[in-house]
Amino acid sequence: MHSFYANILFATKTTLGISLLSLCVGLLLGLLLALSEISPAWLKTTMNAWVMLIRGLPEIFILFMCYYGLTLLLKKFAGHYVDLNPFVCGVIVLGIVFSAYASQIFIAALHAIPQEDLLAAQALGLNKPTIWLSIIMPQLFRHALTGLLNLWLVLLKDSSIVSLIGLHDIMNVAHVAASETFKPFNFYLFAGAIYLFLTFISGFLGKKLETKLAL
Amino acid sequence: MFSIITQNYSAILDGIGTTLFLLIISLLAGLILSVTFAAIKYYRIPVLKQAVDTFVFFIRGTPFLVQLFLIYYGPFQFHWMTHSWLGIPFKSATFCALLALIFNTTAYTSSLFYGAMRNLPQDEVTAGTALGLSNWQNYVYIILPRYFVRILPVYKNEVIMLLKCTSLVSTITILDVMGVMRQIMTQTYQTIPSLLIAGIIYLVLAVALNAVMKFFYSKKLHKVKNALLSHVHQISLLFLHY
Repeated sequence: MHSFYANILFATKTTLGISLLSLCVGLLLGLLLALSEISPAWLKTTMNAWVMLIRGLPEIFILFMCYYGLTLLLKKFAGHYVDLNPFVCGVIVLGIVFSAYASQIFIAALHAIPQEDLLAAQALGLNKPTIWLSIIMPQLFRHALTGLLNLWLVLLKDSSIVSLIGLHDIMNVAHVAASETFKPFNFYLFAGAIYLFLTFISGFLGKKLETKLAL
Repeated sequence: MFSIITQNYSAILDGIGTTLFLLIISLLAGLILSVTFAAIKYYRIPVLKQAVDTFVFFIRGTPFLVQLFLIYYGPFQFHWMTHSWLGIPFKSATFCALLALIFNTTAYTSSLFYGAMRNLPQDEVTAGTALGLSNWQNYVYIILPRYFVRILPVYKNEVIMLLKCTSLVSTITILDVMGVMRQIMTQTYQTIPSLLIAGIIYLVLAVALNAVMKFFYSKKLHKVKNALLSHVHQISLLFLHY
């Protein structure tokens, strides 16, 4: 029992770590995908198709595809079997999924920025990078914050599927403990409580951030 | 890739059937429950409202996988559960999966419905009350058709989400599309082709569902809405004018 608490503490760190890393990857990729709005038509079509594809496919499919696909690919390159780290694979998959949804939010936020701001910035003679960094970006994040918060909660919960490829996260530790002690109810309930705690805390902090940054 | 399909087509078809079965049953049950839950929240019925809030809080705060495992593996920790009639349905993985899916879709869509209800123009509701409609009549004839048409574009996403959610029930031994493909994967060692087939099937299902919902939105629902509304609507409009 004592070792279970130690394990679950470590697993909580793993879950938080994978979620936070995926968030960073997803935000960057999502911004890149959102740039499709202002890119040439062929790129826009391709990126839209990509986003539709990711949004239409189950996360578990993308996870398995990435895990087995990358393993095969690495095997071909290295010449022998390479054990792929589930953490890395999880970050890639969750990041890609997050970015697909985040790009939609970013695009909506981009449209919500008043055009007058851009015109004023141009009239003031600011160059393009400055306009992007100090006029567009701050507003973009404020408009996108509510949607991104929701996505973060989804991401936190979705991270539990990475346990299926062997990451020792909360779900995995609970699963192992449940099958060892034959007390599945207690352990899954405990796992659920931790996820609930994490989502509750992030929801609370998110609300605070939202009121602080409110336009 | 084609040999996989030709050799296992009946299993694959069964898988598609299972996925669609899970999806449709949980959608229908979820729809009825969430309309009820949204009404409970809207009319602030004491005790029930708190119960709904707690339910939504717990379901939305935990991953689907945890709920699924809790429902499927959880009950048999208790001996009284194993030995009583209560435990019988929980022995069926399909029942557990349906329960988890219904809980999930209800929690998400009821908040969606409630949000839509709150944003409805209140004039018509007030007019309905003034005309002597009971709360129940008001809900069925005025609020429900209104918000249903409004909600459909968002509800479409929820349906796709649920479809993606059903793929997770393969973890509790159900042979849906993902389950069948994972089985074929372990039998034939053709990992990527089998997975790709599963992906294509899910994509086709998602596109088809999208098309069906769009069709409903453009044609049928407007007719239903107009038929339901025309009667009460005209009277309430008259009432508002004079």
